[in-house]
Amino acid sequence: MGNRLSHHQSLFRNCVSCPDGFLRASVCALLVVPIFAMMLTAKPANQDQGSVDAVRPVSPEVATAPTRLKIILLKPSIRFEDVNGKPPRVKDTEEDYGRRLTEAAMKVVGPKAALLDESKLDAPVLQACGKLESLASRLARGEVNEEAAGELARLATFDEQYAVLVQFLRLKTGPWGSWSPITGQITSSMSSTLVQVALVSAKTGKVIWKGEQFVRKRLKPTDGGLSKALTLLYVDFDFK
Amino acid sequence: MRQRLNCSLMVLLLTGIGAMNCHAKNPPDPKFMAIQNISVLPIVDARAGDKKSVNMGDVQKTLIGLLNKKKHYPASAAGTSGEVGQIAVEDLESAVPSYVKKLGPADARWVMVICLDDVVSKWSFGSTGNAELSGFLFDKDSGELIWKGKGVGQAGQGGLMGMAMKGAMKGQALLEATQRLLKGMPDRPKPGK
Repeated sequence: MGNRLSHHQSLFRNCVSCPDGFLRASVCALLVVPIFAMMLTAKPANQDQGSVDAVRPVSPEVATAPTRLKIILLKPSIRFEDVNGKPPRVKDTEEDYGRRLTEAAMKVVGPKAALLDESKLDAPVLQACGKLESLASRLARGEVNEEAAGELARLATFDEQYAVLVQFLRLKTGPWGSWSPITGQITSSMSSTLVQVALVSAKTGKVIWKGEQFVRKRLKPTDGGLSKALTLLYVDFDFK
Repeated sequence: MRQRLNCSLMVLLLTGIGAMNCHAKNPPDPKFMAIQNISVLPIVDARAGDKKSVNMGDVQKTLIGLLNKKKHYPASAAGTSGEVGQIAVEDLESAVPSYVKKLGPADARWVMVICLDDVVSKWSFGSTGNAELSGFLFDKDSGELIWKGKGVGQAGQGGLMGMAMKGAMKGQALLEATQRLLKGMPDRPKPGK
């Protein structure tokens, strides 16, 4: 920067010494002044990038979070389905899956925000949470409908810093893969596990963060695959 | 003794055939007979995870073709989902009359909503394709759901030839899923019969 400054000064001196120096000096000054102005106002490139990343939302409808969030961890919504519409045959209970989801959420969210204990919440807050739990399947994928927006607004009347963490798990059972030695036909399994989570602000009714993991396999609560999916689910969890 | 056994078998056979005929001649549901035209709304993409491109227009066209030719229902494609905007599966599963009335074009009475729940093709010891569809038929006049169904399709071929056919697996699975979906819908007699 020092070299560039002395270069500009010598250029200016040369201009002044010329016969029509005044005109040239004016032109030089016009050129140099904006350069100096730009140098003074410019910030280091990495600093600028960092600030952009910090405020960049995940998607157009996703908003940034207010500071000091008080996160209410809603009861995970678990759904067992069969691709053929038959009653699904799953040995594990909804509680088993729910426990795994809650543990994973607490492990990741706990150190980053004030995670509220549902048992210590007031009855009206609990009531609003209960209604939001019934809308968990759509809220967890980041879809806030009118009904949910109303409940979130009601929640915000108690405390504007409230946000809800909504979790949804869908276990789909279906036909297994097959192979026919006669025709050579093969099919692959249709079972799958879907886990969706969204952090929604009560004040704005907007999604602060959301995550999704879809595994084309029926995962049991004790499976390492579920642990891996839950780790990946929260890998980019942040709301600064 | 043998004659009596043969006679009993014959009676059993005839009774069976008679029962099958009776079943086939059951009068069709008046709710379905009243249908003048089904408006098939744009396919709802209800897939989770990575959403690879699928020609939804083709799925809609295939479905309309099957409704017309195999099931004998007059059907046409609707270009819009109607006042409801973006359709969510949850809204269809617990549809209330006020919601149903906003579905599809204003002048349509019978609207069919098809959700593409999943479609995938992959390589294994060959290649396979899976597809999953769910369908809902609403009567906007009464605001009620008159039919819903699910259809799954599985396609696949082993070996090197199967591997080369991966591109076609999605389409095959989707066609099978569409056929199976409509299988659960009551047939209408051919026009003029």
